Amino acid sequence: MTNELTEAAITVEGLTKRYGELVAVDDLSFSVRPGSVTGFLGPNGAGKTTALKAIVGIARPTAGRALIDGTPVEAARPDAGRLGVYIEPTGAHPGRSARNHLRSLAALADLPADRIDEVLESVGLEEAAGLRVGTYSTGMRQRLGLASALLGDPDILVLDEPLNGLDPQGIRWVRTFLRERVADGRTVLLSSHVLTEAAQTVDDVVVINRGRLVFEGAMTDLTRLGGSRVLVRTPTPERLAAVARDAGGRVELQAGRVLIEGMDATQVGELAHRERVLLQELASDDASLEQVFFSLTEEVEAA
Amino acid sequence: MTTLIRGELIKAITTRTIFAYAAMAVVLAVGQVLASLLPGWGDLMSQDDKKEALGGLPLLVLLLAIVGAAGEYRHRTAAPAALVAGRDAGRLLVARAGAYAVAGAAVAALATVITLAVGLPLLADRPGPAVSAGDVALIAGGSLVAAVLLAVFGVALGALVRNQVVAVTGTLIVIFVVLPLVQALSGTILDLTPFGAAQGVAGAGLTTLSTGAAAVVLVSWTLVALVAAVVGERRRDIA
Repeated sequence: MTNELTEAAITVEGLTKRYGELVAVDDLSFSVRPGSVTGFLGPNGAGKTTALKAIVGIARPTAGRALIDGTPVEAARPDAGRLGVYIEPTGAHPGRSARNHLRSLAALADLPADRIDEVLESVGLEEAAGLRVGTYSTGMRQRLGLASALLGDPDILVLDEPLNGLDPQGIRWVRTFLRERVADGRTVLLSSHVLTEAAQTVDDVVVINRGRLVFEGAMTDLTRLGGSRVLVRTPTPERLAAVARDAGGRVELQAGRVLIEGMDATQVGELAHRERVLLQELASDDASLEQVFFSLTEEVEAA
Repeated sequence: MTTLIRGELIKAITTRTIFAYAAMAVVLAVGQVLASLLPGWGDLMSQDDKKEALGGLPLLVLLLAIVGAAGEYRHRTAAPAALVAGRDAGRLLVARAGAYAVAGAAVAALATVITLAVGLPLLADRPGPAVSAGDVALIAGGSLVAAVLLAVFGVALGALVRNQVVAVTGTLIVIFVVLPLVQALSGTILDLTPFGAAQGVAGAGLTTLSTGAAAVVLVSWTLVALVAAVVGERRRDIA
């Protein structure tokens, strides 16, 4: 995934983590391209959180290593300006206010106190900053976790299931926020157990199952792997079906909608524009993407 | 290290726990003075007994430190601290011990001041040889030193055990069940335990150790526990 001329922001080499007999992460290797959002995906229990903990240095790998900007994480622990982390098993004391939680972290990182107000504002928690964390909703805790990770305005963000428990506005806010960061040249590695949820946010994908790597590549490569499917609503379905067939797509007419296989949404949109077909709705079929995810993870289970 | 201690101190003083423990420490200290001085009010009281009434084991400082250090794992706050500080967990634990030493000294100072305010007027009226100002200063200073060392010891215990309930319950069982049994067997062995030595440092006259020797014993226990905890932190996962 990494351009040979560009040093990876995160490199994982042969990472293995065992808890007694249980192998949580098994010889995992991948890299994260700088200036991208990389999705770290896998079903629940795949070993994502354990791998992330080892990558950022709060769990000791049984074998292998992780490098941040080319430096082994255990040799030179990255500071808050280089690496910002929110991993689910890390938290805030329920009896402490969000502001005091961030105050303590800012002091530990030797950051100026005015960063606290900046991050509280950026995650939309300034009004609730004085409340005890124990009174927070799941979404507010997610935002506080993100605020903690952002304190040092880091170049690299590692986020564990950042979309979990967020309402639709919250999800949209996180997506926009992360895209803005990578547009700024920063790097994001985020985990999710729902591929379709992450698909709209990530550039690259690393899929693991049972601690093992099952796919590494661009999001578009993953989409192609399963064969793309697009659902279209148009007042002239027969006309669209004909031109799509001519363009090489497999077409199925469904009660006012057209299901096109073998073409992605961009291709169908361009085709409709060229052929002057009016489109009322154009959507990638998430079921197809989800099927790819299932087939990847099932293959490992069967092996 | 100063920034790390400052960050850990902010954590230690921004929950209600420290205030609850400080209040309990004051209540216990006053209760101990009254329980030592009021019974047999007209009877003669020896100087050692009077000094013992003013001093005492800063048990709540020890428990505060254990709860604080083990709570880092219960509430999962150890990992974000290590991550944002960019330091290894052992170094952060030493800073945590420093922060609780400061917090423990503050709690002990409050309890000592109130103990003296309540105890000294009563002692003056109690028959028997007077306690000198020098003795009072030694007891007050000893209580603070014992509190500081027990706070560090408590942080080390909390980090080693990591489970708040097990750490606190285990400590209470040792103090209230095991140590009386040890005392029944041998006063010398009791004086050589961290809790026995702490009592000696805090002004209670020990059977076999001087205050200075008790301080050496307590410092030794504290250093051993802290080194073990730091080694443990470096070898174990933080989260």
